[in-house]
Amino acid sequence: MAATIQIHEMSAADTGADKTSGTVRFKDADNATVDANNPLVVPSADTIYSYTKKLRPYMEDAPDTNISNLRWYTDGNNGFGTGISVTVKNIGTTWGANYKTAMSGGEDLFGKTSGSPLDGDGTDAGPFVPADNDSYIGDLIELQMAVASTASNGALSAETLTLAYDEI
Amino acid sequence: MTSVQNNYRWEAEKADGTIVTEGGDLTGCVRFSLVPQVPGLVRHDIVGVPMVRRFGRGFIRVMGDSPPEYLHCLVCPGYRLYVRSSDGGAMITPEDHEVYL
Repeated sequence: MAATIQIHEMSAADTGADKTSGTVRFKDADNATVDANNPLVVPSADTIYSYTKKLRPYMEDAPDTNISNLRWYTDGNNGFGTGISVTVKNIGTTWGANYKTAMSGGEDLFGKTSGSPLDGDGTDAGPFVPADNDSYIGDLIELQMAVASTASNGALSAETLTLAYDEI
Repeated sequence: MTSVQNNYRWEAEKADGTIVTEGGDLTGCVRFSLVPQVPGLVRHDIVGVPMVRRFGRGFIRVMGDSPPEYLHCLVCPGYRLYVRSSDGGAMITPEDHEVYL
């Protein structure tokens, strides 16, 4: 059997909820609940920021030999529209509380493509072996949505974030 | 329901008849097979060519509606064979070509 790797939305260093094929909603609250509460309201001036989100891969079922080469990417097209951006960075394995001030040091999420991905295992480096089963593997990545006054009101269509990994 | 990464089981055969089902090194193997584990997928048997190694590549998603995918990759001198686990579709690329979906 091949390994089962999941993407978890993290609420603490080693605690998260499985969001594989699911939704991560940027909102004005520090929780992983996908609902219509705490929306990001388009400001009359300047820019507001969502609470940050943290994602990390989780090994649900072990590989025969190992998992390696974790990388995160998008299709390169920001479909959220004018005035809305998402920043991302790899924060290693050190947990920090989520916040809604502007992220420092982040990069444009949609600049991360299959040809130029965000490295997912620079600190917690692979390969990850069967002994790592039922644990988090690779690094935490942190994301944040920014909404400028030029954005339009209304719900947004989802954008896809992909985690790719190699397995032997 | 079988997860997409388990739609196929792989095995290789060495010249002495030994069957290999773990690891990545295929040096000396004379057959590499992808055996469907669910109905409707075609079996792949690669024989009679030198082989180097194999690996799988998983793709899982959040925040969108793209389904997960899993590629089986056979690396041979001069080319690679990638097979999609979802539908059995295959593609040939140069030996150093990395496919990301």
